[in-house]
Amino acid sequence: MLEIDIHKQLRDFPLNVNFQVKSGEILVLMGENGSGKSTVLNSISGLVTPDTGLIRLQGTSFFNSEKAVDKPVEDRNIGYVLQNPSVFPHITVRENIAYGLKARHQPKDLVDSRVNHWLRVMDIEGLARVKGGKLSGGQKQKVAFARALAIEPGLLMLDEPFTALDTESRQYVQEAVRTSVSDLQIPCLVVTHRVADALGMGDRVYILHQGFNRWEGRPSDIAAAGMHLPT
Amino acid sequence: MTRWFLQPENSRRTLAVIGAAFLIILVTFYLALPVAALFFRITPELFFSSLSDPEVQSALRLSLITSVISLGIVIIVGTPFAYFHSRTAYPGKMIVDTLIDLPLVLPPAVAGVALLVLYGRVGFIGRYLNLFGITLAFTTLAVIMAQIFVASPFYLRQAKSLFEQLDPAYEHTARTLGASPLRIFATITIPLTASGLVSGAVMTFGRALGEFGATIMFAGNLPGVTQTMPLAVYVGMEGNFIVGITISILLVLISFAIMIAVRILASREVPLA
Repeated sequence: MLEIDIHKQLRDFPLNVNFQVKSGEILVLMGENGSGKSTVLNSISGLVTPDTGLIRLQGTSFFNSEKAVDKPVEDRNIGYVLQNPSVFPHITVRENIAYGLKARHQPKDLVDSRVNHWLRVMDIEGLARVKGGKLSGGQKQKVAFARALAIEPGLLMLDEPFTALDTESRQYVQEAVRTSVSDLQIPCLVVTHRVADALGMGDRVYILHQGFNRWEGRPSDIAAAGMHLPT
Repeated sequence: MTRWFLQPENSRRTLAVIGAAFLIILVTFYLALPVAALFFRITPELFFSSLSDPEVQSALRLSLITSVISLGIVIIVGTPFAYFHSRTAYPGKMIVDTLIDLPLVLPPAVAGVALLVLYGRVGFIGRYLNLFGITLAFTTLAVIMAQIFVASPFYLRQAKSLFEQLDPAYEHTARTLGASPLRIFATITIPLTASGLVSGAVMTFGRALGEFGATIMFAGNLPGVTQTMPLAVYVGMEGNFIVGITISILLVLISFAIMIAVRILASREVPLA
């Protein structure tokens, strides 16, 4: 389970978020641009430090302002797919997916079998030897998914991850992500502005508005609750 | 008679073409003719035979060795410096930024005098070094110090702007994947900026190789010890003219090689933000 209860003063308003995501659950974080969604993800990944509060994954503190705990980014074991998929352009798709495993000094056999597995799951086996810089936007997003999942993260976070995918690939990738989250039994946090994505893969929706929680509930209840979101 | 600006469109265009062609030829010849003249001043036989002249050889050897060492020091110290400088905000950063560029506008002779005033036998620091029997001025080390002072901005500026332009998302992603800062620097930051860094290094090497003013002031003109190729050209023009021309031609050839290298490297795609 991921527990988060943080406070951070942003430029225009204070950010106050408090929610939990159970293992195997997908929480969709929604809200207009500048509502603080990315700050939430970056706080969890450690790229941004909250002013006060607590972030815990499976009971282990990532951040605890009272006990002065702030775990380094590289030790948090989070699969994070950024909006800009940032596939390393100078190395091949295979090396991209292996990057996190090699950084953790995993044995070569394990690296190879994991990479092969995720190449297959994301349906990009044919691209294994292609340099990252030569991929299309949609291919990059698939590589970024494979790379994030290959480290078998304790938490998966996706920031607008489906924008470059066509409808068919989007459905395919969403299904693959849902299966992986359920198989690995990890919490998953998805930031998106598309209601369709929330309906397509979310178990629960958390809507942020100017730094505070405006609504929380099941994706299918968004319309009934009168939430007007950009589509 | 019609005035030129009332003439039909066609002839006005012809005039523009002639004007442009004239300017292009003017600039090209102004830059190329003196260089070409060097090659026609002596015969190829004379050029190749004076290549084995001990004066030419020792100047060439000294120049290459000192420039390579200067470049090595600039890369080893300058790369991490440029990285930290571009990624961190610290008090006085603006001043450091200006200081990096200073050697580009400072007359090299002034740089040489300044080095001498500081490190010379009676200089502010030099007099204390002298107590320990350490002499910097008028040694090969002084040649290297002068080259670093004058040539380092070419590398530092380039490295700084490359690190500033690199999309931070690559490094952020690498961190979330569990890579240590050192690993990220070696596997992401450096490879993604490599072609730009190499072209900066090549420019630095070229500038170090051509260094004259600061060297002659701070290191002097001792054959085999501090007499680099540009200094040997200067001496040659007063004595053995053929030696001066030969070394000049060598420097022109090296400069061309450097420019071609930079062109090739600059045309490579750099994946930035």
